Amino acid sequence: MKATTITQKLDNLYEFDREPVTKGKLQGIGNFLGMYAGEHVAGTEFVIGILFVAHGVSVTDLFIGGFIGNLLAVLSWALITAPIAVRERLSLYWQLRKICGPVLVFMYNIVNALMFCFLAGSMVAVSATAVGIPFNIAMPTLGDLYPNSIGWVITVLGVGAVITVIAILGFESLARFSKIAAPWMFIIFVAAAINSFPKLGITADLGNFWQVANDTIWTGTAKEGSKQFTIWHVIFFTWLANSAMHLGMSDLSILRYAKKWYYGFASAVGMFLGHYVAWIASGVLYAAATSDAPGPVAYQAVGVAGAICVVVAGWTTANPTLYRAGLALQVASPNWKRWKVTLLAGVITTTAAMFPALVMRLLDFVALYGLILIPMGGIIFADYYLSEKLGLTKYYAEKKKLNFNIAAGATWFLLLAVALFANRGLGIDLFFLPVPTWIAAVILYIVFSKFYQKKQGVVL
Amino acid sequence: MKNKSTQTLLAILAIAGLIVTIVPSILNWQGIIPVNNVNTLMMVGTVLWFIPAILIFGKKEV
Repeated sequence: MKATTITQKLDNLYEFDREPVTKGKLQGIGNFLGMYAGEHVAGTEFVIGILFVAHGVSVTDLFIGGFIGNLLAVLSWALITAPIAVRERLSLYWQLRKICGPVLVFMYNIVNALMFCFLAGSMVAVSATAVGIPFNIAMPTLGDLYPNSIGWVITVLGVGAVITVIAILGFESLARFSKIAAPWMFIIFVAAAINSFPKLGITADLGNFWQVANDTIWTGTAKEGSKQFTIWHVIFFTWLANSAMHLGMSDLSILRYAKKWYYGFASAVGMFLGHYVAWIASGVLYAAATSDAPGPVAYQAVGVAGAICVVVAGWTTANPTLYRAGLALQVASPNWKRWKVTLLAGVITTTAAMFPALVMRLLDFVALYGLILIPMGGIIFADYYLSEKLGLTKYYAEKKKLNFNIAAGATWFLLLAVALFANRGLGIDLFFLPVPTWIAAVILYIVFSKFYQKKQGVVL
Repeated sequence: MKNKSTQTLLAILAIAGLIVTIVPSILNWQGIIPVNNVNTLMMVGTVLWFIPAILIFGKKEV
């Protein structure tokens, strides 16, 4: 595909938000509180709480590490993403396009789309663990990476097909339904945990809660085959679970509608309800269960309502993700109707969902997702705050009419290669790589731009 | 949903649904009701939440 075609297609696709958000379209803090609360009480929460227990997180690790990590995530949204969002009021696409040029943004879109497909795939798999209960399907266990039975494959195919068709036919209705479901899902999380208290021997006055938590729930010892986590794993994972959104700047597209920068603190609702209370709750019900799969775990805790919650939680997360994947993929498929692109995204998603590794290694996948996209956030930060102060040109690709800003591209690719080496070659956990990668992106983009812009001879 | 009192009634029912969803688990933990009743009551609470909530919010942006 020619660069000019790509540019034209991308611009047409994002035409509706080409201009900065106008004053009349700004929204109050209530919308952001609701949005963050709804988005972060999702199907993933069932899995993450479970995996923390499996990885031997201790009570202190979870309660203190989780608090610190969530606080850092909120501060990242409020102090890094939101100020740029409310001053520029541009979507991520246009912000990146001005800095990187349309071809590099095209590549970013494709990578992002694939990540969205895999994320939606993990949610399809989560739903399938509940749908499979009445059919007595053999559920995947912590160690399973590949499909473990024909029944599992058929269940995933069925769930994936339904989710894809709904994403094609009625995304808007489902988006409304997911907002309605959010408060109920949170209540189910909490109720399921409380209902598991008697099974775990927690007394009615909570007097032995910490003892049971230490001895039975978050024992500090990883299950066989799972890596041992420390408080640092919890802090960094919790902080960076949504790093693509805050340090990676995806939420520029959301927060550009905020009246004030401090609306970024609204993310605290999502973090502390979804990524703190819900993770704690899912850990509690996992400790009382006899399965590793979210569906049976919730079913054992509160019966059919729990199983329905897992289906709804997976489904309501998978659908918007699938829709976003379709949107991002559309730039790569000239003249395709939206339904065809969404169908393609659905096929990729459903295929990925057949592999339990996507759920059982969700923590690694989430960290990888953030890591791949985070350098672009560093580039935006550097361009916005440092470029002009250091004698460089802000929005270089736009001003120079470049299709591909080599300084930005080199920063992204080089850092991904270094991160890959650090993980594979040096054995550094994925969780610890996004922050140094983000900082390195800020520095490298400036350094590369010094050479690149000088070579191009531009002083604008 | 033109009638304001109907909307208020639906909102009360929806909130009651959430309460019926969570309270039985607390009662079970306190040894007041058996676990089987919890599961049934949670389903009742679920239905009680969704029907009015969909009627209130289903046709407009929330």
